[in-house]
Amino acid sequence: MISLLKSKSEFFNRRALFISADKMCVYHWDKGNLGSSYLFDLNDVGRDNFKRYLQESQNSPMTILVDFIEEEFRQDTIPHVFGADRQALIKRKQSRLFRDANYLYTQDQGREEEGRRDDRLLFTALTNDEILKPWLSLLNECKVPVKGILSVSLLLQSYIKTLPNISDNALIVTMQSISGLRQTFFQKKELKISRLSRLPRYGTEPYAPRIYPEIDKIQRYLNSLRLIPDETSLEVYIFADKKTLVELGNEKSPVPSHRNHHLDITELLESKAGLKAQPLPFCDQLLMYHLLKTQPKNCYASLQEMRYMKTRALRIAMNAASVLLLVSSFIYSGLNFMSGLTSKQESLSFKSKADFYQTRYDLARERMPKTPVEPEAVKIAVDAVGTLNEYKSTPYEMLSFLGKGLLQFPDIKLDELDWSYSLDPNKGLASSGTAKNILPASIIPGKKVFKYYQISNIKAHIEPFDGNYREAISKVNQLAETLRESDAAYNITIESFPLDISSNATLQGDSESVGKVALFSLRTVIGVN
Amino acid sequence: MEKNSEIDWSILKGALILLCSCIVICSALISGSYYFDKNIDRQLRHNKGVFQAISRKYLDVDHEEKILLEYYPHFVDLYNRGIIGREKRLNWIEALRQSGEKLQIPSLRFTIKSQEVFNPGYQINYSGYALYRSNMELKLGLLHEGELFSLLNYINQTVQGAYTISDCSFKRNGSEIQYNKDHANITVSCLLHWITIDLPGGNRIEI
Repeated sequence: MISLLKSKSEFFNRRALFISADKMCVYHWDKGNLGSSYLFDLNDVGRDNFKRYLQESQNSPMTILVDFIEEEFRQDTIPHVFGADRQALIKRKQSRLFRDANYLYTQDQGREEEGRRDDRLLFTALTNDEILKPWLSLLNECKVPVKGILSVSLLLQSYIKTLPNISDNALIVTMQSISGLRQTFFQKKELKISRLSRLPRYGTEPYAPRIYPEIDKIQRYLNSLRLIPDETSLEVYIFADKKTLVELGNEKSPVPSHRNHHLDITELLESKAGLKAQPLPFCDQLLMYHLLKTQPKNCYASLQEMRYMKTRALRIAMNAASVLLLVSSFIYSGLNFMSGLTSKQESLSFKSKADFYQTRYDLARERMPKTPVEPEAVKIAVDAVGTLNEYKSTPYEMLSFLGKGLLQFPDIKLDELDWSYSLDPNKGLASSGTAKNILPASIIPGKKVFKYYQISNIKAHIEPFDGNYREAISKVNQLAETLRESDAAYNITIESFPLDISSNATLQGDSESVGKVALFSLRTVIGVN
Repeated sequence: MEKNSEIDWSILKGALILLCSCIVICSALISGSYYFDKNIDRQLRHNKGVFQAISRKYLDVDHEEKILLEYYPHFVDLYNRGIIGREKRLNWIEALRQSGEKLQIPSLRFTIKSQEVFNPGYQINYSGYALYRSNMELKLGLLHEGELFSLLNYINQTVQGAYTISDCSFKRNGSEIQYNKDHANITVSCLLHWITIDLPGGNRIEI
C-alpha cells in the first residue's frame, strides 16, 4: 500500500492528517511542496490500514486538521486581567460554554472600545471526541510526534491573511471532499463563526444550486446575531473549480445584499504552490498546502498528545548538540594541531640553528681553556671576591684610630675594648636604651656616609688620679674632642664620666674613699670606605 | 513541563548514546590537541631559548675569550687559595699553629664551626653562586695588641683565604704590664668568618 522509503530524511519531512466525521486523509510534504496523499475509511479496515501506514512510514511529525460539524464557536468578553487570574477566568468561561469538551481553544481578539474595555475572546471547542480518539490512539501507539490539532475554520483565519483585499465582513465558502461545505465568517479578518453542512457525493448532483441557499441561511444567522452592521453588505468569497464557478455565475443569488467573489482553486494552487491539480471544487489540497507550508501553532492538542513531538524536539536538540560539539571540537583540535605543527617546524628550525651555533661555539671554545663555569660566571666570581675584600674588616683601623687619640693622653689607660663591625652605625644602641630618636646614618643630614662602620665600646681609667674629678672629666672630654677631629670619626659618645654629676644621679661617698679611681666609658664609631 | 515519567527514553536512547560518545570524543580531542599544542609550544620556547643563548654566546665568544684571558687566572688562583670552591680548613689550622710558634703568641685557641650559607648585608653580585662562611672563634692571650695584627698578617701571607672579622673584645689582664714574652697582658676573643664562593645547592666547583 505504501511505498515510502524509510531512509528518507526524517528531519525535513512533515505530514498532516485531515480528519472528518467520515474519512481521514494523510498528506505528505515533500521537497517543499505537497506530496502524496492517502485516504482511509472510518472503520476497522481503515484503522488497520492507517496503523500499517504508520508502522511502515517515516516517523515524521504529524499535524492534524479536523473538519467536524461538532465544532462550536462563542464570542465572549472577560475583564482585562493577566496571569493566573486570566487563566482562571478563561477556564471558568470554557467550562460554562462547553461542558465536558476536552478540545478547547481561546483566541484573543482585542478589546472592547467602550465601557471598561474588556478583552474580546473567541472560544472554540470540538465537542465530539469520539471522532478523534481512535486516530490519536493509533498515533500514540506508534509514537508519532503530533505537532498540533487545528480546525479548518481556524486554519482559514491564517489563510485569508495571504489573500489580497479581503473585506471587513467576509464569508469564506469552501468545500472539502471528506467533510462538506464550510462557511466561515470573518470580521476584520477575525474568525467569528463557522458552519459545516454536508454535500452529496461528488458527481451525483451539481454543487452550485446548494451553495446559495446555504449562504442565505448563514446570512440570516449572522443578521440575527447582529454581527453585520446595517447597510453593510456581506462579501462572499467562494472557493471552487472553474466549472462550479461558472455554474454559480448562472445561478441566481437569492440574497441580493451580498457580493460574490469567485476564486478558482486550480489557479490558486498553480500560482501559489505550482501544483497542477485536477479540476475539482474541493479545497483539501489548498488547505493542506497552506497547513504544511506555514505550520500554524497548535490549537487543540494537549501536552500529553504532543509529548512525542517534545521528545522528538529533545532528540533533535541532543543530536544537534552532538554534531555541534563534534564540529567545534574538530575545529578547535584542528586549529591546535595546525598550531602545534607550525610550532614543531619552528622548534626544529630553532634546534638546528642552535646546533649550528653550538658547533661553531664549541670550535671557538677549543682555543680557550676549559672552565668549570661559564666565562661570564668566572668574571662574577672574581669580582665578588673583590667586593668581599672591600668589606674585609679587622680591628686595625679602630685600634689605630684610638691609638692616635690616646697618644696625647698618656695617663688614660684602656681596660676593656669591645669591637664590632657593622653596616649600621647605630648597632647596639637600641638595646642600651640610648638610641632614642636615632636615625639611620644615610638619612642624617650633613653626616658622611661610609661603606661600613667599626664600633667600639671602651672602658678606661685615668692613672694616676689624684681625686680631681673636674680635671678627670675635662680630660675625658678632651679625649672625645680629639677623637672627633679625625676624618674617620662618625660618632664619639661618652657613655659614662669618672663621676656622674648629673642631677638625676645619686651620689654618695666619704672624704677618704672618694677620689681613688676615675673610670669612664666611651662609645666610638668610625667609618671605613 | 513534561514529567520525567512521560519521557519515552527508548526514543532518546540513541541520541543520548550519541551525545555521551560525542562528549567523550570531543573531550579526548580537545584535551589531546591542547596538550599536543602546549607540549610543542614548550619545546619551541625551550629550543628558542637555547638558540638565543647559544647565538648570543657565539656572538660574545671573542668577549668571552677576553674575559677568560683576564679573569680565569685569577679564578684559578682564588680556587687554589680556597676562596672559590672547596674551603681549605687544613691550611687555616696549619697557619694558626705555625703562627703560634713563629710569633710566640702566649696562648692561642680556636674553634671552627660548620660551614653555613652566608648572606652579606651589603651589595654584592654573586649570581649563579652561593656564599658560604665558616665561623672561627679565636681566643688569644697576647703580650700586646700588635700581636693580633702580626697573626692576621701571617694568616694573610700563608693561607691567603678570604675572611672578615665581625667582633673582637680586648681585655687587659692585671693592672701592670709585664714585659715577659710568655705573659699574656691582653686577652683577645675574635669571631672570624672564612668566606668561600661555590655553586649553590651543595654542588662544587672542580678544576
